[in-house]
Amino acid sequence: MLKKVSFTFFSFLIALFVFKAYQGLQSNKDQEEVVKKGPKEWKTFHKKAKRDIASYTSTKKELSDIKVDRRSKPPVDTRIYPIRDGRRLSGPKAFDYTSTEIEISFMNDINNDWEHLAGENLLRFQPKDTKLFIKKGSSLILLKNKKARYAEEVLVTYLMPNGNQYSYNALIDSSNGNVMKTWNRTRHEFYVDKGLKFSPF
Amino acid sequence: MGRGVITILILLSAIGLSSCLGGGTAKSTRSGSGGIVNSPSSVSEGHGRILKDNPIILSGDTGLEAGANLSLLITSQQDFITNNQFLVSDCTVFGQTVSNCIETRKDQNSSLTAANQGTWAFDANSTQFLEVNTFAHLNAVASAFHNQIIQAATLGNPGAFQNYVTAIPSTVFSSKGFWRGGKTLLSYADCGQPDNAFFSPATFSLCFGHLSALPSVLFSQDPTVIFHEAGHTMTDLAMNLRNEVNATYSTRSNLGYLFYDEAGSIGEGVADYFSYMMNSRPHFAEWALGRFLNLSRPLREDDPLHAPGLAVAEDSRLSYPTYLLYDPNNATIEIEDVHFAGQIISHYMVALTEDLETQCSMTKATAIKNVMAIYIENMAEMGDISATGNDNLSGHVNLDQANAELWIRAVTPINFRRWAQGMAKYTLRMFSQVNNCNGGSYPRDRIEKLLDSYGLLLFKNYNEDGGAEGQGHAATSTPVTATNRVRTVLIPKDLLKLDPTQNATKAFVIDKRSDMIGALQSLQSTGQVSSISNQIQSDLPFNNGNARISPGELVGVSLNLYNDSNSVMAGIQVLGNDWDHFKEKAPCNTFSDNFPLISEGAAQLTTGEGVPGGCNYTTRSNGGEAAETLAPVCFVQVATANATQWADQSVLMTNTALDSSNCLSGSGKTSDCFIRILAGADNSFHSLIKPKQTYFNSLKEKNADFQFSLSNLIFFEVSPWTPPGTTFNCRFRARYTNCDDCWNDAAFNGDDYSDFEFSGAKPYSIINFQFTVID
Repeated sequence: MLKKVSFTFFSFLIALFVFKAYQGLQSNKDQEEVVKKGPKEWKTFHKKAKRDIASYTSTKKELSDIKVDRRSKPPVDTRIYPIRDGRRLSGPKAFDYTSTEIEISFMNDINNDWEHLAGENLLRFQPKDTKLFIKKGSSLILLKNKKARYAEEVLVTYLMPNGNQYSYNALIDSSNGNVMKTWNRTRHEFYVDKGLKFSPF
Repeated sequence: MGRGVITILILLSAIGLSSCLGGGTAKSTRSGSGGIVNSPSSVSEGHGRILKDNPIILSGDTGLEAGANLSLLITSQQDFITNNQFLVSDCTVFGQTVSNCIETRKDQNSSLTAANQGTWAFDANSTQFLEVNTFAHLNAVASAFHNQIIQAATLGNPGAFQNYVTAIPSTVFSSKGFWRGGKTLLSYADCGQPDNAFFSPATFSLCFGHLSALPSVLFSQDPTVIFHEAGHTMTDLAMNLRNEVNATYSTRSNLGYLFYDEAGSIGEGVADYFSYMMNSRPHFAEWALGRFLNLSRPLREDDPLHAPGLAVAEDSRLSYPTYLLYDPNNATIEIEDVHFAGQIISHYMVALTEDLETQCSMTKATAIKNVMAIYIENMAEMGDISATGNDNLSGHVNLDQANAELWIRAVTPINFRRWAQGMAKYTLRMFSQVNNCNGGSYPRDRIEKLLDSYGLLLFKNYNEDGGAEGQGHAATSTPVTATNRVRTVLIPKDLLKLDPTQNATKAFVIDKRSDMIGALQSLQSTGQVSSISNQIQSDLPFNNGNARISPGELVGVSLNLYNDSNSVMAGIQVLGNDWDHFKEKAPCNTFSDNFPLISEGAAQLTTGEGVPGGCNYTTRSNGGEAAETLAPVCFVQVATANATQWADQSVLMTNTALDSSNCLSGSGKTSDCFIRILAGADNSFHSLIKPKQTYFNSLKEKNADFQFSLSNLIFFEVSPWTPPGTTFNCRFRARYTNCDDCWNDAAFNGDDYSDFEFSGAKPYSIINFQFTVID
């Protein structure tokens, strides 16, 4: 009898222990889902209402939703870039301007809030519940016609409320967050906004 | 203690998971209806089975139903997939290895599928099978493409001792420029995208979706669709071969920038050819697109799907521009769509392949490899942002490094003419001027006659000397034999005009609020436009839908274009970007429009050619010179003491005492203070205009539901500060692909215009659009 009670009690203890351990594991996992952030270079901008845009470091789940594979490592870039003040120079004869002793006339300044401004710009016309993801790339100095402009290279991904997704690379003006140039736009086989037709009458 | 138990539990569950994988949830079982048992025991290590073609072809059943048992369609033959543990492969090209160049999984949320007992044998109806299928076919395309680059590099021998002027950079292999510098192409066999597949160059990924009405039909079940999408990827690589090896630019070129343009059409046609390249079968997508959507496409004129009258004979080919809007599945309607227009390109490429086979006694495989080598050369040159087109030249293409992207996107975009000329040039260099055609040369006449049979002999010379001001007219430019142009029709540029019919509208103005919000959301999210002025409110409250231009609106404008010739005009493009037509804030009147008069405010600065600063001088660097600036297309009528005059918009700003910070571009640019063309949506494209018709009526003739698409519109931002009653004149430049004098400079024996000339007026038909802003 005692043996039987001991066995039952022991089994109960084991079961309780396993259950608690499982609970702890689950709770840890849930917590992880909530707080586990993705890599720092990714930022999410979530348009909750017309003037309510939340921004935070993208979560792993969000990055997974937009097909970002965190596991694949970028290739080693063997190219030698022209650098000035820690920024990549881009434009004609860029290697001639690497020395800070050579004067360049800058047309803008660097605003540390450029990414936030870019997020707001890029969501200004988008519907509620659109999510925008910005991944920071290189910081640049663009050279054109003997003038220079500070810019930031980014990867932009939109996740629309209907699930459609678009990505492209962009150059962002470091002073005001305006998009200066885009490239590498997603090429859908069938035009996504098929219904977008305009009657002239 | 607790942590230890958790660790044990994790280990236990991991063991459970691995036993699940190893235990063969993926292990094939014979289905009730039979078929091949694709089990690990039936194949060798690293091997598996794939669908050799799409289910329609393999079954021979054109009515095959969705959900068909794919086990019945695989054969006992096994294919090598990979010896890796996962569906990840390396690419080795010319001794250079890119590790993990291709990786396939089900979707973005899935883990990589592990090998099934060392093999890649999975039930043919399983997702794992589709992953293997996608992976194997993508690897095959990549391998073929890399062999084609090797072929082009072997024939051209880039570098100091090149065999001909080749666009292949000499460092293409050492820099891994053949594969995005070594990036991994991520591919998703079942990515959950309804009714679509996509290639994202930004994330270097491919996504294969499914049909929403029949979710069991996946695009990755159709190898021809995999080939096609891979074709877009390889085209992107080819177009950026020179950009990948350049460290001073971070941007890349795209083939096609609008919903409809000829560059995008070329991309679709070439992607169809990739299917032919892989299976030598001149029809594409019978299963995923053809069976359920009636959207499969032929690649040869003798395909039974084609309309009567088409044949593989010189006078019966699928020619430009006649078949630009042709849907082989329903020839009674006409649709402006890049896939349909692209068929002309795919048919031409197949015909060129067959002609090389015949003329040069090549096998089909060799002929395909050579056609692709020609194509890769052509794309590498046209997409070059460094503007050299070759390791040993400068300014050869796309004007200069500072302006190349604008030239590729809008100013001299890749259209059917430019593409055909490039194909001809590299065919000439690689097979006519050297003995690469079975020890002999491929006749130049055949290059021209074949292109002409497709209506693509749209150029008058091969323009080997490029577009640089210095050498562009000084070196070789082999003329086309005029008598070879039989089917191709060229039309004088001045026959493109606004509808001359009395009381006809000059332009269609789209200003309905919901339309413009939808347009703006699309333009912004797809990256077509950059920044929108902060003077335009986000919910477009001023857009009133009255089809007129009002203060504070964002409007789409489509000029009411008219073809005053007796032939079909095609590839019409209206440019609204800034150009060289103003001096000292006054419009020049030295162009073909003779507008405005001096008394109406025209600039009186007429220095001679060669002297910067005058109206007769065209900027050599798109406004880069100190004495040269570009002006927006739209200028304004302002009142002076005695008359009204046309002037730069900054004059109106001064007259109305508007603070420059309220200008659409802010205080940094006041010349477009009140009306600004939205950058990126600054040019419209129109497939064709029938003889003596407008564009709108041409498209409506066989498609009663025709409405404008985004690519037909140029977008205007209108400042809320614009005084109602103000009149503007927008001096657009327009031209088209089959134009007789839009591309060639009569002053240089018909050689192609130098690139800088496209900053000015000469190559265009100038179209003035006047309107008054009303409240």
